[in-house]
Amino acid sequence: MSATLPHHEMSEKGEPFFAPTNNEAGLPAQPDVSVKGEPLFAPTNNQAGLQAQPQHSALSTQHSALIHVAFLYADLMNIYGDRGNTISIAQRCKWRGIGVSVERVSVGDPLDTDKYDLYFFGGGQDQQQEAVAADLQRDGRGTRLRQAVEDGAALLSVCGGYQLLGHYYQPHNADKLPGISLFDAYSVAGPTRFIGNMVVDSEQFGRLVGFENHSAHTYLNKGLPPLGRVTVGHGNNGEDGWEGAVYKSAIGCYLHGSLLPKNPPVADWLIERALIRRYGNVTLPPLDDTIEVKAHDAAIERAKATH
Amino acid sequence: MANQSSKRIRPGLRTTAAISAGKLAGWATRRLGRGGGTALPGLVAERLDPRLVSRMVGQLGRGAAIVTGTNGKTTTTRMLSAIMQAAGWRVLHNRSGSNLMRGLVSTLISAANLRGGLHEEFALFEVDEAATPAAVKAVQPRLLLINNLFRDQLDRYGEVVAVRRKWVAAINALGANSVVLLNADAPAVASLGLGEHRAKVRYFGLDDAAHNIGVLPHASDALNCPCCGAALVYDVVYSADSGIYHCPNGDFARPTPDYVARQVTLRGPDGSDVLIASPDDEQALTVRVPGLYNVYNALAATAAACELGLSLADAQQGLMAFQAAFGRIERVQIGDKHLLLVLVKNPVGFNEALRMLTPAAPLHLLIIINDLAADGRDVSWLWDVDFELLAGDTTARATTAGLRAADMALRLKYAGVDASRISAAPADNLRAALDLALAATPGDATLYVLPTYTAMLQLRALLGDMGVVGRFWED
Repeated sequence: MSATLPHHEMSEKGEPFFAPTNNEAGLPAQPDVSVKGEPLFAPTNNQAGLQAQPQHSALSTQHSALIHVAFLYADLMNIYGDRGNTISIAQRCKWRGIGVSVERVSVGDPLDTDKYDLYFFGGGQDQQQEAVAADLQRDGRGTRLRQAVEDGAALLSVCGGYQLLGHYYQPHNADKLPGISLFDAYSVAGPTRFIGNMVVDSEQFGRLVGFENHSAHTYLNKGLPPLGRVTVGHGNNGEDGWEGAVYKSAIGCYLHGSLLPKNPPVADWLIERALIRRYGNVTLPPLDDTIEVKAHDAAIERAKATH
Repeated sequence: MANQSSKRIRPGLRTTAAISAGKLAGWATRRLGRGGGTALPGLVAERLDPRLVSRMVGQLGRGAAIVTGTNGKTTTTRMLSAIMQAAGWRVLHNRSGSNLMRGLVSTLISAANLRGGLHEEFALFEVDEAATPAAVKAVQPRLLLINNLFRDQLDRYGEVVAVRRKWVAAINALGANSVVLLNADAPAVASLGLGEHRAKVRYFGLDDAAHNIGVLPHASDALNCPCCGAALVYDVVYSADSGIYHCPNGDFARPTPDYVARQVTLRGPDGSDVLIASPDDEQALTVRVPGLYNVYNALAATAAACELGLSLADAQQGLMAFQAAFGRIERVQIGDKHLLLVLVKNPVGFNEALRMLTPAAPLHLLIIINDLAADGRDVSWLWDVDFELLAGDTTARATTAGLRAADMALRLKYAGVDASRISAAPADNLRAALDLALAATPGDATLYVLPTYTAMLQLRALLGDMGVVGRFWED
């Protein structure tokens, strides 16, 4: 029996990226996030024990909604639990009856920018980041990704992914890694690693919480708005007090944690932008976020206590 | 050993002073109730005599061994210790999980007399990944065993690559009479054997296609060829990154193991049966702790014992006598309620624990997540664990507790556990959390308790206060 690495199989079959990996012991079926073509805001599928969420009819129920998410370099850039971001997107769509497919796109895979409405690009280790930087320069992939954001696609990048979306990243004792200049920003390895809980106040999203772990310092050129102001932690560079960047519907930041599960306004904004790209104007119905808000508030208390 | 007295050190005033001060510090911390006194004595003594470890280990007639790796090093070390003791060796062993340099020093001085003399003839040290180069230089072990390399507490260690770099330095510090024993099935570990070094390389691995899970789980690392960088192709996958693999360009492949486990029968929570082959013998063994990962631990301990001059029969005897390390897997009873405690410290270990528990569904769970330094201050790793295994009716009731109770509750919700089955206990009250979880567990069900490292220490202390188990340093 032959088994290749999962991203090959997954991208070919378009399967959910956290599909069951082991059925040797008759493990239960996983929640299926590839809910394709279901009616918009139809009753949620409760087979997998997902809680029922309030049903709304803010959108027309005459047609189906489906968004396509690309998890960029999921096999190489997936450190620090960043896949929680795609889990959050998938579940929050599913609870609203919105179909979502999450596909892994990695080195050498085709990047169909007509297909994807939302991109997620996480952090990785140095060796992996080199391979990914090189791949982004191949066949105009980086240019097409940048154009996709110009044309309205939503994007979330964290840490290493964020760095490669700027002009370049200059590591300590290695060659400069070229970026794709989606963000008018650049990153340079700093003398110390910033590690710890981080709290950021954002005008757009309110108070955000996560965990930073990076040695690169990122500098935004004038005109590129940051995501927010750091109140606990270091952020982009530990000097100017800012964290992250926002360009059109693309966010770059250093917030692991994962970011989206504990900060649902950001998740919902990305989903909304993805739906707008595909269907025009939409308003998302709210979900019961009691557990999310508790985790968000508790994490902020923990960040303050550990700083 | 007949002539070991000639090797006995003649401790100077400095060594004696260091040992005395260290012993005093250990006694004082225990008297003050500040824990087991496992780290401070070492800190004090190391300050006073930096060469204490090499001086003290140098006198041991049978030498020393070091065990490191991300997961299973405590269990493996204890298995190896049990094998040696069954063979009649007098073994000194850092048993309480104090595995930084100062823990080694503390272990040595608490066993030594005031002149630095030791009754034991072999020292067996479980050593933290990052502390391995320093420990190898000081101890000069006959054998260095490296189990596996997974992402674990990355905020403390830097990246997985950095840990591997430290191990390369540790292997380079071994002499020509030493053996480095590596897991052939984990490419990040097996490839450590490729470099130029003086030590002999030996491998252990599993050959049993019945345990092929087909696809690598999400929490997998180090999947590229160490020579050309191409993605490794797995013909068989046993767990996280372990399996039988090769580079598509032919630059690297899983080494042929010198010690092989075959015909593995997993018997649920009771343990496993396995056939282990060495280069010149084979032996059926029983492993009395559950899961495939403990088969690996037993295989590693058996291979180490054989390389140190013991036999497969010694291994079989020792493993029969082996008891699981404190808190890693433990059964306790509170009133009429049964609890199974399973330590969880990283995604790979957590996934193994979940795979072990899910056949017992519907599960009553108490998951205790702390974010102190020893747990990893970044709880992002919870999103790398396949909690989707607990979705739907697999979970009857999940109580979350610890400093990150709310994060854990959130993770379960997004894994597909119905919100009505999840309760987050107050972060600062473990007793209340335990009561809550016990109250939700019917009398005939088992409560499965999954604590991170510091949460387990707190839980042990709480259970001790309740008169349920003894304090861990009494073991």
